[in-house]
Amino acid sequence: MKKIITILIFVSAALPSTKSIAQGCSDAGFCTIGNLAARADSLHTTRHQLKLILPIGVGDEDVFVFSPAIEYNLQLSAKWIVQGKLTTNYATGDLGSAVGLGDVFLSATHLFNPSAKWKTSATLGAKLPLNQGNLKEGNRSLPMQYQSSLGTIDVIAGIAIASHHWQFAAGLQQPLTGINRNNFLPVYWDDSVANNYPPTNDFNRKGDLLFRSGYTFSAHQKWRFNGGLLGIYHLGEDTYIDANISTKPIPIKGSKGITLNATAGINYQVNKKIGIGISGGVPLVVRDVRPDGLTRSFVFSPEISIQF
Amino acid sequence: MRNLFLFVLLVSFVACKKDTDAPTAALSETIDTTAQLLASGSFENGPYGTVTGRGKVFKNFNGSYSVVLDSFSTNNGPDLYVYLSKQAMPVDFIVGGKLKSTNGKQVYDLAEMPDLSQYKYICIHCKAFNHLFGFALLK
Repeated sequence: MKKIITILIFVSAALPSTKSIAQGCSDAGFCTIGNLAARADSLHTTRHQLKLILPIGVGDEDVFVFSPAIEYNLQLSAKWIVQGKLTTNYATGDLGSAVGLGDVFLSATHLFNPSAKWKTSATLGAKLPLNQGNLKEGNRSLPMQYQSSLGTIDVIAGIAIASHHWQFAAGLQQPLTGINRNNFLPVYWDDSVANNYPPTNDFNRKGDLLFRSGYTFSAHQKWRFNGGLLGIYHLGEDTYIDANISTKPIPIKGSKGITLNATAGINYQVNKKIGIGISGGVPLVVRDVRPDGLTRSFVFSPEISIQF
Repeated sequence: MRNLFLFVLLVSFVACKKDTDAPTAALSETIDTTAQLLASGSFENGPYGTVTGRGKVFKNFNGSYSVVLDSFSTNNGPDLYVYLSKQAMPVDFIVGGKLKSTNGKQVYDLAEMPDLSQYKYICIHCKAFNHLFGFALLK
């Protein structure tokens, strides 16, 4: 175990320390769902897998974020896997602190040709919020950087093709409910610090497209490494409402566009039942404005999985 | 897994529970005929409402102040309040009271004496969700 901890510390230190983004900058959740997740995620071959993920990161305006999540995978057959995931979040920064449940992710993945060299699969899922994206400090709404959920019900769909080494995936995460209940406007805060955060009163987040390519290799029977590119295209400009400016939704300029990340992950299979890993990424191209609060300038994301 | 579904359903139910909407019976409240009209303005729609009628501020004979909604109509919503505000979307405001009805003439007594050079708006505002239904710019 001491050796494992030493290796994990070494790996985390080796990951870029200034612009490392957990599972990709601007990830609204779908980057780790079903066949859209990085390949090293799919090590398990047993019927059940339980995973604990413990990301610690720093977001915009140096907001410290700790987002523990628990994930359960059930291999129903050679062709079907269902997945459930529960996220939580603690955030603290210069406007206060907030803690709360995040979202429940439910998905099903169908593998069309499990015995083929190039396996194709499709994932369909949903993100169900456990709050409305309006956690408060006192009676004032906090910016999205502090929120434990985006506050919307989203549908997630993805397709992937993968060989022993390569993975290519494309996906869509589309909010169905559109506007969340966040009420953050800087003017509500008697604090100039609030002006550093983009206004998100009645925040309406647009959908995202995902493109992932990755390469996985095993340096040892127990070690598995993967690296790749993760692109997320935000399909439109997000909007908010400030009736003192306009009675119509106000587009947030610069919130539409692509985020491109280089990603990396390492997994170590401790024994037949237990695996541990770290994942991370470096943004190569980012959107000008990311009012959803999903950006991380630094993250350390260890995880442990149990197969049974 | 079944328990998880039940939990999600319970959370969804609680999240969807609607706050109390305003009464809809048309009112015809009156104000002292000696009251002095200080300012008035026509209602305009906000991002979340369709509001018509006029908003007025009176100084009463006894020195108190009242906000009057005249020929008033709004679509209904939860937790609606009448504010006298410095901004169309309330940031600094005086609470007139919970909206008595979505229709008719209604009077709200003010607890404070407003400086009408600053408090230029009468707002119909959903407090629970911070949604502006409509506002009248006082002139």
